[in-house]
Amino acid sequence: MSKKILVIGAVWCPSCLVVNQHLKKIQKEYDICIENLDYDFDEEKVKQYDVGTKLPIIILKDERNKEIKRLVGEKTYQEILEWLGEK
Amino acid sequence: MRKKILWIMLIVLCVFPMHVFAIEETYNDKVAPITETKMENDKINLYFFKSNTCIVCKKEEEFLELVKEKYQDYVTVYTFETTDDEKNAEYLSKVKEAFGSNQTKTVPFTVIGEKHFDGFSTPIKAEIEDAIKEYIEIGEYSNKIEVPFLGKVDKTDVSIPLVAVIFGYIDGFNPCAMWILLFLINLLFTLENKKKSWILGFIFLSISGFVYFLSMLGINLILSVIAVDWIKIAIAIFILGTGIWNLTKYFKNRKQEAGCEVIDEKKRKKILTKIQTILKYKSFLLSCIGIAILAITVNLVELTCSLGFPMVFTELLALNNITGFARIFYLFLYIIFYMLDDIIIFTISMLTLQATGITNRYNQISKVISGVIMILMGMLLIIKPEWLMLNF
Repeated sequence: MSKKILVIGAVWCPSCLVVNQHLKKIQKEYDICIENLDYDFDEEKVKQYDVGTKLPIIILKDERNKEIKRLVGEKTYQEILEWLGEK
Repeated sequence: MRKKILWIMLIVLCVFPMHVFAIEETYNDKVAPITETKMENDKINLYFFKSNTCIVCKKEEEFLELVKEKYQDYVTVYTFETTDDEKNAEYLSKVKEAFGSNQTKTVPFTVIGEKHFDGFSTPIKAEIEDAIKEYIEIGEYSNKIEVPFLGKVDKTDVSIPLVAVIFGYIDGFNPCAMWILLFLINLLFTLENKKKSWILGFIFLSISGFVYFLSMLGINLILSVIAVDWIKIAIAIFILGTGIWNLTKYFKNRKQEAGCEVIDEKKRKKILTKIQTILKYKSFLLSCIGIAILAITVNLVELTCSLGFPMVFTELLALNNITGFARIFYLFLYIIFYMLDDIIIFTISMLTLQATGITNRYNQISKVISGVIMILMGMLLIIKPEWLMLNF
């Protein structure tokens, strides 16, 4: 079954762009469903996730759309893979 | 490919004198006939006109004692007191006439060969010593180096372009105004007319670079005019403090998560709304003007965030008495390399229609490098400013 992840980032955040590139690569290699929210443009939706002061945030969700765990800040491709349990 | 081009550019800058081609100085003593001074073979004369009541003259006198000691085999210093000795005062008038000097400040007045110096300050101290070195054709004192195909080239002509490139490049990694560029790029993607996107982005980058250039030029002009020591010390302390702050931030953030801090929400939303409004203008000319104004305001505000390195480089230019076209050229060179990462990010993003970011690691590395450089420069400006006159 594909893993669901939510990425909260921002268009002005260079780290978010770097992480998005890693995630695109991961999506091609593994069965992962990615949803993106923008901190500024999707303000109302972002509020429910209790976002702190650091971006990006990657949230792993279960089948019922509940948060399992989250990863905060810029990560490398390997770190994201390990966190997803795909390595 | 990009790396190869950058390396080639760096090597060309190192060997190609960007100032003027060095010209061999010929020593011509115009003062000896006026003051009836002896001219010795293989020695140059330095003529120092002073007054016993002049405080600045005393400072120059102390400096010339060091000059006598250092260059005793090559330089003879002749001192003329002009207040109590009428004949010396007359010599001074005739010498000034010979050099066409119209400075109201009479003394100190110094002459070496074809060069004359009105007054005395840190830049003039360096100029006097440079003049001595130019007239002395001894390898160990010469400021010139042999460069293949180009002959004798002044070391300072080689050093300053290199410093401009390196400092501009490091300063360019400063993320202060980067977030706005990324904002703009993402919104430019939404425009149907791609040509319009390219032009607006180009205008934003050009104006940003121009504002930074003007700011650095302004700072440099002020530093060139102000010869007051305590202001220079204050600037050195500011640079030192900024360097320490950069390093402190690096060590503090090192153990924290890398990423983007969410700050200044109100300001960010205001700018976002502004950009969206500008891009919706029906008139393309209005959009261009709007983007230009945005670039000016945003970069002026963000300048305070990244003032350290510009201060270091402009102070370096002032210390080395770089003026005129050379000053403009070196500042322009700095700006080109400062804008390089922005230009690359914009170009790649527009070509791939995908916003590109620089990993936080490079920002952290640039913080360390810039911090260390600023601490070093700040300390040198306080303790040994003459070392920054590129006499190495």
